[in-house]
Amino acid sequence: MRFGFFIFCFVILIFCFVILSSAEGFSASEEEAHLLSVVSCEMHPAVFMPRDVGTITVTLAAAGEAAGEGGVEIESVYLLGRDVKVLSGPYLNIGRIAPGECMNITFTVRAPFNDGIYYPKLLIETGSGDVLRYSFPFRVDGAAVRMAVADIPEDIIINERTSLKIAVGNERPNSVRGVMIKAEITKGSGEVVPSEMFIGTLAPDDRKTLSLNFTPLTEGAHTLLLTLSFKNGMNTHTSTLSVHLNVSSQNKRPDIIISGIEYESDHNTLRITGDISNAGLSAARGVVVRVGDGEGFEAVYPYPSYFVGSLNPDDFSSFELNVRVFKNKTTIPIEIEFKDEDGNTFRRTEYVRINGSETQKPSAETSPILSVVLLIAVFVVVISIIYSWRKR
Amino acid sequence: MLSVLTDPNDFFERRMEREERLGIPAFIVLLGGALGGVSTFLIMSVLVESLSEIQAMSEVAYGAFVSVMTYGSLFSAVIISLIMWLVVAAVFYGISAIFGGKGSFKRMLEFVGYGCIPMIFGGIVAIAVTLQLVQTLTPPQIPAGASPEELSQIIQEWSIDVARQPLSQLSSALSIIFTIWCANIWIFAVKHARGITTKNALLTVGIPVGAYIAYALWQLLGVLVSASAL
Repeated sequence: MRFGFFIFCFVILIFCFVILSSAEGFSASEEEAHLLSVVSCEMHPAVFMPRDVGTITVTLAAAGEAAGEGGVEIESVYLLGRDVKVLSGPYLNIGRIAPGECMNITFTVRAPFNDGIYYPKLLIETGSGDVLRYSFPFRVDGAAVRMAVADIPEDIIINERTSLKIAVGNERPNSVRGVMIKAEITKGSGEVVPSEMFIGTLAPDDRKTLSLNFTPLTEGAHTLLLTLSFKNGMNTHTSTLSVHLNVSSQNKRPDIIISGIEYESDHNTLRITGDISNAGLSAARGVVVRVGDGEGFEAVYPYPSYFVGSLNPDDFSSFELNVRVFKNKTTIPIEIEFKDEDGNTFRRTEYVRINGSETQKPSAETSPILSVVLLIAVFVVVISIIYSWRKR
Repeated sequence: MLSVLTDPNDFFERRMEREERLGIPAFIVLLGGALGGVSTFLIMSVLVESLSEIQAMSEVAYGAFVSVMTYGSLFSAVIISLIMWLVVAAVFYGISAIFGGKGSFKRMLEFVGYGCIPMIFGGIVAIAVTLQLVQTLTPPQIPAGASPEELSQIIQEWSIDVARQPLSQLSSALSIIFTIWCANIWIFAVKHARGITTKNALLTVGIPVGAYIAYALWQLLGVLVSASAL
């Protein structure tokens, strides 16, 4: 019984010794750890998207003179992520950090599925067995770069270039780079220019507007698929936007016509005048009337061409052209050039007959006078001749 | 003297009794030529307006050029009319010789000159028509740096354009009509100056004048056709 009690007391003493020894060691490790500090903890990308792969770079520093001349020996560094999966292994036998110097240690991690703020833990073991534990926030945000239609014309006409404006905005709290948009027609037929647009880096809450021209080749419903890609760190993300476009054949562009054509012939130079009207439903800009190309005539001053300017719907103006015509020319081409509101240039050629019933020759008005003079002269001469022969 | 227009046969018959004198006939020819020259002068005045912009021509040279072009046209018209007077008289003299015509060339020249009196009326009418014509004419557009060859081509084209004008065509038609009137007088002039029959005188005058009128009509028709094509 007495031997048993002795054994029991011995075990208790050993236990207390062990406990006291452990308590003495622990207090020593806390003192060692205070000589080491985590200066910074940088993440790339700054904010991860779900399942993004990136890096966490920890900067360690020895605390100045307090670390002594030898500095602090780093035995190992572990990153414990829990939800954040650490793809790279721990760092072992790293070495000594001199007093006042820093050391960078980088881990590759993969973000969890869900948005939120996570706190991975960093365990730094010194050469003397001291351990420094350091937790830091790890933010996961699924917000992406978004596209939106900024402007689409109300009417899209077949075979007519239409300008579309697309806005791109960065909703993320960090910058993204390599932002690019590809455009393609997935339904219907048409041309999109440019088919790829490179934006580059987009800062947080930054917004850029892009223009692209769509020229439909068929009528009806069309779908413009915009695919946006960007990089968050080293991770490429894509998003798409389908823009539905209804192409019609209804023509609302300016419709320029000329009428009331008259000309005056001044030996071989014609002065062509007339009215030019806009019968369309939208304004025409930069309207110019000129003599078309061809042989047997040439435009001459003072009006080889005539600048009309803008013509609103149902508006009209007069014009004048001067043409030098050579022989055997019965028609003169008149070219009309104008632009619509979007800057698309249109040309139309009308032909003016200069020898037909539609034309007028003011000089013909003198014909009756000429005939009278001629008749009087003939009459006088004939009478004189007849009289002279009768006298004979 | 105006009886030559109404009764040329009697006029020349009485003139045969007088001495050959070329003063009045020469005046008639000169007057007719001068009046014809006035028409040319008026048209040339329109032309020289456009020549003032030519760079290669100084102000002095331009003034001289204008003088030569306008007054030269007037002078040349007078000279040409005199030459034509001689030529026509010579032709009539030669053809009438075939028909046994007798009489001096001077008498022929004198009577042909009297026969040109209708040309004076024709010249006056031509001036009236030309005055109206020049109001409708615009000078040709001659580039300032035009070379002499280009200048010549432009003036030539402009002259063709002028000829296409209805008033120019009227002037040409009147010229033909007054020539016929002259020819009618020349028949009696040749008859009496050369002492041949009326028939032979008709042939003597009709052959060359008919050829000339045919040529003038052909030219006029050509101008009419080209003008109607424009």
